[in-house]
Amino acid sequence: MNVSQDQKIWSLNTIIWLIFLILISIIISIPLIYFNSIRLDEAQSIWQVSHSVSEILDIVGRDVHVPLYHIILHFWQAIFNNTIISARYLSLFISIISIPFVYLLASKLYNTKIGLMTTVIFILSPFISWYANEARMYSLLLLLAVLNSIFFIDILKEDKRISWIGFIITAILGIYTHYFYWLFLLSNALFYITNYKQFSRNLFQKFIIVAIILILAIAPWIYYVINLGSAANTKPILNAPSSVDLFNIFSQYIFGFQPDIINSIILSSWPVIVIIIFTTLQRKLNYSVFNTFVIFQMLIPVGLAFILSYLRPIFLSRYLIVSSLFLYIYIIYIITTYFKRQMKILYIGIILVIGLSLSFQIYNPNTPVKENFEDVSMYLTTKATARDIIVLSAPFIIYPFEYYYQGVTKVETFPIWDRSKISSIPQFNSNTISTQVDKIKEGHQYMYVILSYDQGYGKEFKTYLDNNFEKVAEREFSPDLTLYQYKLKL
Amino acid sequence: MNNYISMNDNPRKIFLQNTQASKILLIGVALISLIYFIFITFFIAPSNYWLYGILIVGEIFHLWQIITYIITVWDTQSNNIYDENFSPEVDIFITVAGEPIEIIKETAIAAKNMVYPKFNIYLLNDGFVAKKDNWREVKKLAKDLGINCITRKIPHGAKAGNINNALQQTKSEFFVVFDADHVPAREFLQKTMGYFIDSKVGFVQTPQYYKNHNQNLVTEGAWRQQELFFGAICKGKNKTNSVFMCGTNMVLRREAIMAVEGMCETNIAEDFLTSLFVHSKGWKSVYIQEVLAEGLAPEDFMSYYKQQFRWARGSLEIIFKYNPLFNRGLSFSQKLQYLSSASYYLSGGIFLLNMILPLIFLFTGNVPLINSSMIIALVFIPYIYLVMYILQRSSNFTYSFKGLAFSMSSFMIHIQALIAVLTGQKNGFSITSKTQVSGNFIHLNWPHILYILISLIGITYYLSNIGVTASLFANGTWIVLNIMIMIPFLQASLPLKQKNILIENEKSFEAVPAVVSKLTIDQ
Repeated sequence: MNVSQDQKIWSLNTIIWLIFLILISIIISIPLIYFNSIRLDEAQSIWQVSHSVSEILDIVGRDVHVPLYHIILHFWQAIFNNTIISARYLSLFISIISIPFVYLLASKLYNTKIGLMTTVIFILSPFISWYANEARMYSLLLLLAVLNSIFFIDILKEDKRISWIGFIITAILGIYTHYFYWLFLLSNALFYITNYKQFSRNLFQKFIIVAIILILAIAPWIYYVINLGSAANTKPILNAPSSVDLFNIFSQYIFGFQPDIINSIILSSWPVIVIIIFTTLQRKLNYSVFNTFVIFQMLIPVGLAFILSYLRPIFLSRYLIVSSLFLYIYIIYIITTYFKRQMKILYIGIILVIGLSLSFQIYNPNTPVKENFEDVSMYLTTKATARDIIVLSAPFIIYPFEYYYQGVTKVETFPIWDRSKISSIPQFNSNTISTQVDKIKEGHQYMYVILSYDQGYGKEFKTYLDNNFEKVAEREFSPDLTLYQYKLKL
Repeated sequence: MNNYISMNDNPRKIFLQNTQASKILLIGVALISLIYFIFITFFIAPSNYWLYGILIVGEIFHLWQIITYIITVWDTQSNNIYDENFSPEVDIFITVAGEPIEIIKETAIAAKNMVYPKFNIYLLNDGFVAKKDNWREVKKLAKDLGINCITRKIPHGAKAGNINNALQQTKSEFFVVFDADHVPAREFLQKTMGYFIDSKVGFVQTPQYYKNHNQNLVTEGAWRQQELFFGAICKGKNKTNSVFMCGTNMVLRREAIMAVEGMCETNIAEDFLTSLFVHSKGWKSVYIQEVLAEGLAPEDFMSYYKQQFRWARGSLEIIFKYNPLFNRGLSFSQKLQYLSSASYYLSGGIFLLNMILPLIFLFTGNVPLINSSMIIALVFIPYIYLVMYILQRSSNFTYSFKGLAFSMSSFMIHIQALIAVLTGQKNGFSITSKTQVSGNFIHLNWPHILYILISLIGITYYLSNIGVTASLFANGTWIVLNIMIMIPFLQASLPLKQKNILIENEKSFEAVPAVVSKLTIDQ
């Protein structure tokens, strides 16, 4: 990419468009930042970064993550304050920085038209919007992948030192942001290996050196984590994914998080993909090898995560957020190969579908990923008394619950977990249900049980309660977040 | 860095360049096709055995097509022996049967302008036996141009008979066949004759390029289909010595043709069958990867329909009457290639069977397989993607949805041809019209319209009886796909608009005078 091309990419018209898109992005984010309850993952982030840096390393090291985001959030929260709103602003800030780079990436891969069209989809995407406003590391993961891709393309096109430096720095930051960044890098490597003939010959050795640098860079952390040992049961258990989960990921990339009934209709319409494949049979105008790069980044991390999940379940769409961007780029590329009128119709159609999905996701209280810990906490703050007991299961939902809860009622978890003594949540043992419940209910009038994130024993626990106590109330606050009230025999 | 095509490339070249797909990719496509087939056949339980049977028959056919395609395009590099100093005397046959005199004239002038030591031009004038009005004008044209004219008075064997008649009245060791509308390049003979230095080469075929491919929807659709055939497929067939004659733009060794008692007159695709006989006698064939003559695609839907029917009928007869599997003179590769080319015309029936499966669901609720939709999708999507990709890759990214749509939407032509072969119906040889027959030919596509109507009725019936279900969306989407495939074909059968588009650097051969350019471009 030479200077004149860069100037073409950054025309005044484009900059005005990008500023407009950034404003739209901020407007979209307001309801997500302010009106959504804290979620489990966010609560864990807030709790983790409230510690010192060394403690953060210890906590994150025992967790399934790498520490860069947590350290950044720690200092961010120190400057602002340790609330969920300020934490979400960090994600939004990173996401907004990503917008011009998304445009730059798609423009470098194809052209500025595709760049701008992709950026519109990017800011409207319900999936991206969700994580652009969540107090987690996913917007950072995406930004670092976008930057790294830009440097990678520059290397393949021109092999400049500055590109290598940028590539190495973003790669190191990326691998300290999320373990799944390695899948992204692996896809880069596979793309290069399968297309090396198309590029300069001396790149291979340099890529090998970069790979060694990255391994050396992550080695201290790996050594640290191995020495720590990991905490057990502090995260929801994942199941091995099915073919439905695989398609669900791509459905989420486009339609966001929708209720089951809508989702089943979307998934049943999978032959639409066949229609798309058939209609991509176009005489390719200036077919680029970077098409393969986009396809690789769209499919390979998802495919690898799917396969690896049979060894250890790790298949979560948010871990694979980078692939969503490449899906958008590819969709836009495809529709720009059609005739102008068809292209306009399809593009408007896609914007409408994505926009409607976004609105539905934001304003529908039954959006599956919504976790309304705020309302349940507020409800119990006013409803429960000091004579009652609140029981949370799975135990780790105590993080989002206690973020809001200001009541006087004692809060317990099932299984009982004394966080001051052990970092690991005790394993469930069905033989100890009655003992533990007896211990929990001791001296209380009502037991308020919040069930969420079933770890495989929720049903058994609830059946026990139903059989032994009188259920006097039940209320669902959000999908998979239900409060039960039991009258205890004093 | 990027050696793929751009539309600024010459359309005469792009379909012939860069057709060699990676062998790893080809193996990958073959493997995933096999995996998909095994998975569908053995790992998903049937729901309705009749529908399951239909589905599996279709899948067997698709697997056959994919595997034979992969074998065909496995190696598209040529290594034929060539000697540019080999230049024996040649007879040029321009077959004529009532085409407009201007078209014949331009072909004849271009033939005269060919650069070669010694050749004799003959207009094989079949206008008299074909009862065309202009047969006398053809004779006069020959006289005016100072070339020979052979006018048949006794009809037999259509085009093949015309050529055989000429062979009796000429004597050169080699002869060239041009259809009346196929204008040769000046270097046609220079670039073809050198291959006959190999005394076992029986014929040399060059690509059949449609210079009017941008004229309207019919010419465009016809060319999109041809590109794949004259690109990767013929190049691959060349490697296995199994390219067949395509009726025009070809040079033949008299001895090879006489060894099979002349051009075959018993089949309406005489070139295809004659090639089979020539190969079975041990003669070799050569395909030249360069456009050396330019012709005209059928310009209206009726002409296209008749042309496709003739090719389908002739090819299917090969399967049912001259099955290459039982021809001892052919090598295994040649048997496979002839069978795969001929069996292409069975695809219409298969497409129809596949099309009706979602309709059956709408009216009866029956499906071929017990519902494992997402698992099937998991295997089917990479399978279909890779199959489409390999078509794209091996055609240098020239194969388009339009070509696919024309091929698949010709299902009724294929079925009619199959019925004609099985029932032994007589079909005369009809020459593809070289001028546009204007009109509305939508009636020829009544099966397509019927399908759309039944689909609409079926969806209404399902909605009123069952309501909105996920299965409705799945089957509805298949129906939408089928209808989308039909749309370019239906559009082409409506009264045509001329596109008046000429690709920037697409210039006709120098020999083509302005009158022909006007005829083919400005209409």
